Amino acid sequence: MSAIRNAICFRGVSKSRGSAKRSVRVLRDVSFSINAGEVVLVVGPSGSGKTTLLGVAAGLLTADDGEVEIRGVRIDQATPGERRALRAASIGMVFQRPSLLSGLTARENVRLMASLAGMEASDAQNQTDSLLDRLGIGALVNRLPHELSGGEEQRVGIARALVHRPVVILADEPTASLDSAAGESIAEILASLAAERHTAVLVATHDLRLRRFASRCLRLVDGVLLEDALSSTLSS
Amino acid sequence: MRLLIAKGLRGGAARFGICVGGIAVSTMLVLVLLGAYRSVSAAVIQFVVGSRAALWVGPRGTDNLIRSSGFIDIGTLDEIRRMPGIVRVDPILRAFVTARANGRRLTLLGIQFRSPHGLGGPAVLVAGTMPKGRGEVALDRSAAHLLDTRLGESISVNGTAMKVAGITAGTNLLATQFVFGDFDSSAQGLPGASFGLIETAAGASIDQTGAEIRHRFPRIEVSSSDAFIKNNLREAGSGFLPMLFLISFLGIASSALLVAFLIEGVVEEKRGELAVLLATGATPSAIAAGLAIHAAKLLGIGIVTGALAAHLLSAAIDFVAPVIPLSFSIADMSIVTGLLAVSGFLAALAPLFRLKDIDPLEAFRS
Repeated sequence: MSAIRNAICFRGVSKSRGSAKRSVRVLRDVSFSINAGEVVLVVGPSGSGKTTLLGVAAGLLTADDGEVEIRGVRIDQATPGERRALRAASIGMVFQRPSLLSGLTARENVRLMASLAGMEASDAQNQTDSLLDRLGIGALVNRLPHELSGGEEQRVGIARALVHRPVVILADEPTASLDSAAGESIAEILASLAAERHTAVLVATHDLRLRRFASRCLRLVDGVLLEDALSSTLSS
Repeated sequence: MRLLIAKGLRGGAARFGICVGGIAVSTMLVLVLLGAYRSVSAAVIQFVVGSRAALWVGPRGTDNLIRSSGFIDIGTLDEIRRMPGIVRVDPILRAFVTARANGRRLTLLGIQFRSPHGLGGPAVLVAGTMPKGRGEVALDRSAAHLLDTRLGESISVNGTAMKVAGITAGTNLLATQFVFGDFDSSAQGLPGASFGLIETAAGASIDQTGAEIRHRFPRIEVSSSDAFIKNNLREAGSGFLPMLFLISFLGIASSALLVAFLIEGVVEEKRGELAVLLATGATPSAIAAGLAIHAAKLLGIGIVTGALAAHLLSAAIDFVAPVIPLSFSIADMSIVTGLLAVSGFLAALAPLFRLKDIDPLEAFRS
């Protein structure tokens, strides 16, 4: 029951990367869970395993040991096709650079994600327009990515991640390419939309200013999730 | 969704335009070459059909107009004329002649026939009249242009002044053009005619009549009109077709390479966007379909532009300097566009296979 209540749940997950001869254990017995509407930061130095953690959570990498569930569905046991379908339907992703499709307008970029998730056209249209309005870029919907500022592009990226009402959003350094004001604004919007929509958010970041938008902060060092470290990170 | 992916992954407008231009030029190149060959074929067919002869007879081994030599004597033609089922036999003389006018020189294929109404005259006169007796010729329209000569003016044919009484069309073989003159005033002193053109009686079997001529005159060549057309097309194509195939192959290959280049450029340049698509749940087949739509659009625009440009070029040449007639048919257009489309599409597959090298995890690292 608890697993189903959790939006995402890791239990004893380990993952090695590299060739058989030079295998490196990137994640070691990682366990945590995030509830709907909760924002959790994962902080750690470069090479600590944050990207691998997101990759395993998204089903882009398969765990060597342990279990990964997205709202009760074992993504680690799913076939590649099932993992792809699960990503399209239940996972939203925000990247360091939004990498919007350069030939599509802001609205079309968001609608494409809705199409991938199999949403009906009218629902996709309504969700897209309402999200872009909510993100303060309703007047820019017909602009191409190169006509948007970095902050505006990232807002489109957030709309893309949310449009299909995912169970969980995986965000990789979402503020790294933005100035501090834009970064804080993006984090605030992401947190508030996640709370509104009961979407869990897992943010991998170096940016400790984001801690005030998070309910918890996990620290990953050499693949080990040391503690639920919000208070210790704050103090450090 | 696939259309959105195709739209989203389109490359820069300049690169797309250059590739469209390249494909259009390749299309035009192949169509123009094919159109030129078809115009020669059409000229051959028009002349043979327009001659109104059911059978052609010539010296043994001479079965075509384009590459022929030797004579058939007039006495033999007279004997053939007296055979049952035959109503008319007219001689023609075929010889290369040198035409001069306005300081220009041109080698033409002279056809001397019993003007003005004998078999073997020009099928289409676009201006003037049939040449009448000595001193008049009907000149191909392209040849008139090349000699800067108009109807009613005089040209020198093998040193003899001739008035241009008529201008003909469909008589340009590209390598040379036709000039029509009078047989009786040209053949004096020659051992005979190049060919005899035979009109059969209504209801007479052409095959049977041909067989009887062959039986009675075993030393002459007898061809039906259809066979004569086929023989002439064989000769017209023997030099042209290998070149046409080679250049067409190169044109189609370069067009296919342009498609591959563009799609490869998209895959390489938009690697980050493709990784994001894969990470967010797009299937490789949906992305490949999007890129294939992109390739199809490129090919479609390029081929249609090239086909339109070929027609415009043909009209412009005909208007400005009618020396290269081009003849387009729907069948040829379909074959050429089909070959271009299929080869371009196959060429686009190579970069599409590289999609499998893109790791969706790259989306987190870009």
